[in-house]
Amino acid sequence: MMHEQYDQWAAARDRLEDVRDPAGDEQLGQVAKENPLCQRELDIFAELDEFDSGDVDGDDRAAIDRVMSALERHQDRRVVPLRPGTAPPSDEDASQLAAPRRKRIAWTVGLAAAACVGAFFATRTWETEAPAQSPVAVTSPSKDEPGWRMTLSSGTVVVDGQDVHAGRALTMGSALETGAGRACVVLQGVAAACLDATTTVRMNPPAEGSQAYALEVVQGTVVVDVLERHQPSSFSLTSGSLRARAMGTFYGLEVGADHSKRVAVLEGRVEVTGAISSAVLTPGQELLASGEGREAEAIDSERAERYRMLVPSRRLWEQPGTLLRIQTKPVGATVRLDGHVVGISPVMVVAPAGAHTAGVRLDGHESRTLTFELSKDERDRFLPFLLEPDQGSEPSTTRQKAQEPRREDPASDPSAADLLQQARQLMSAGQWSSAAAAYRELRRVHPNSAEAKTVLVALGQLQLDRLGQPAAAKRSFSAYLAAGGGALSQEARFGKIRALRKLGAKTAEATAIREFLDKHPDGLDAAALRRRLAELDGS
Amino acid sequence: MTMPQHYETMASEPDLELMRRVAKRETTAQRQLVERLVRRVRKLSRLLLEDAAEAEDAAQLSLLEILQSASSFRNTGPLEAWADRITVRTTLRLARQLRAQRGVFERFTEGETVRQLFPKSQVDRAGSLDLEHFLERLPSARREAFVLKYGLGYSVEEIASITQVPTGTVKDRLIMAKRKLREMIHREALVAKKGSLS
Repeated sequence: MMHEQYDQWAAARDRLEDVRDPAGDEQLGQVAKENPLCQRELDIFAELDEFDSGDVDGDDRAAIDRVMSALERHQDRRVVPLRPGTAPPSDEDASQLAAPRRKRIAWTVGLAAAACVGAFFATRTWETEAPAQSPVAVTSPSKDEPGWRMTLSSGTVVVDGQDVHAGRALTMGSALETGAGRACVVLQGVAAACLDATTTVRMNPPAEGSQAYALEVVQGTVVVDVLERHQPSSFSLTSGSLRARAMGTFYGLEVGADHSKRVAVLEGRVEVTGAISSAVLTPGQELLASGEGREAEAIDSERAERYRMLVPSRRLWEQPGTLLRIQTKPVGATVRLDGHVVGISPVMVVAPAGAHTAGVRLDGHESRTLTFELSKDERDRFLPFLLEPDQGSEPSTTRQKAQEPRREDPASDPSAADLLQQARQLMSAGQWSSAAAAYRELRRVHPNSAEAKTVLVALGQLQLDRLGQPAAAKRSFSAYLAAGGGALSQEARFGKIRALRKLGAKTAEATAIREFLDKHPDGLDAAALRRRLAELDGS
Repeated sequence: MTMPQHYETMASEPDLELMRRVAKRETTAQRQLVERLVRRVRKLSRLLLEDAAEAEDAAQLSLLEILQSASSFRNTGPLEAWADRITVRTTLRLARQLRAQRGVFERFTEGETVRQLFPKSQVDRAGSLDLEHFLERLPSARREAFVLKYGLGYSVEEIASITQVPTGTVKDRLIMAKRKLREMIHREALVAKKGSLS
């Protein structure tokens, strides 16, 4: 009855849509008061009218600051124009910015399509304009107004709750989390900092009138390369009361899950101050500040190597540069740029003008390298690599490779338990995308571990309920069941049913429900599933 | 359905003065204008685009464009309506470009790869059928038509001009969007009644 009335009400509302009929509107309003479905529709339409309702909030304020900052640089002619592909509208309202950029866009988009199609089949490596990332309204900060800019990202990197990638300017005061990925940020003219996985930092602004910049390490590992022209340095890494001030150097700070803090110096000197008396560390020294102990000692060689690996070529600190999007098919290849490991594909990195060599390597596949030249005015470059299975290997070797667990290097790969813990923390923090990335990373790094199988169910639920990816969720649940299932089989089967329902695959859903009822006739959801099956069979 | 109130009036003299000062690049006036419009522009971009991060960028581009176009503001309608037009055009242009570029690469890469290249900002949903929840489930063309018609009060002809499709197509998109909305309202009520799966 309620549904029928709603249909009649909706039809009447449509008839009155473009007619001014106060009496009719009044009548519709009266019906809506008694029928929640009608009221629901009115509520949704009412939301559309409330564009500027409410007070300006923090996000609005941040947007205002970014726009005013970008505008100031435009007017001072100190800004790189907004990236290609983000031109203003082509109507007569568009002002002085529009004309030159409109030409550029037509050229770049056209080139993208043509170059992509042609090069793919010809060389198995195709170069073209990058697919558009979200445009960057604020670009390189000016010299008198420094700001952080992300120059490298691999995997998921989150700033103030939003996924971001290399090329983005970052606001002072922002919090940056790497999750399962890694990132490098540059404070132009001051320092570059590279963040390992599961690291969180805050980019604190200097005190008013001061140029003493600091990066606060909340958790994880950060390695800093203080730029030569910023000597003597006024840059510090901090964590709580501990402050590690650079005195011309290359050094790192780690904050462990137990809140222990370790400073290690590779080049130059670092003054460490905090709750206890200060110390000056020289190259090759590290200091652990936890509990009562605080003695400088020789740096652990594996740590030194890990720090060096974390920071790629110093050429990458030159700004401005071109945003490279390095993609491989399949994904997960180790990516090198100019001989330095810059991450696991896909990788986005800002590189300076000039010649470069990119290389990708994935176990069981042919490695590839590409030498290319970047011009000064080039904003984006897309570098996709198609990696074919390595045909040169003996079949037995190939099979053996496939069966062998991936090389597990404790110095560079976190354990399965660590990654699982990391994923759970990200889940608790509501960072769904990062949590999913951590689960995938666990499966990639430790494919034969027990966790690699069990996380499929959690990953599926995440994809289904939080990320809106029912197809991916179905694959995750099916993969768990195909691997023999286990204690979570009931959850996996139920998840698969829900995913199929969201996909609208009624026949497959009915089959999956029958399978569930066969395996778990007394399962928690069995009664609801029987009703659903009857509904499906009757439709 | 009536036109939004702000479309029925002309710009006030203070607004004209404000825009003259913005055109002269007076910083205080520029900031005043951005503060006045920021919420509206951000909300409109968000309604038009599925992805939150792309919408945020579209809003910033739109605000910049509004500031840069101040000298072209005429007293042919209210300031907000003029700003809406620029926001709509800027946002839809960006959306078209992103769609076109996605289309090219989807031909050669797997879906998961494309998603990594074009990650969508995800927002946790409580599961209720609010406006955003509904809009997420509409194809982008229907979503745009729906927002322009019922959010901004544009006519079918205006929407056809903006989205560069025949008026019949716009009408069809609006009918389909409303049909989808009503279907979702029906289903939501059924699920609530049965205490069903989702």
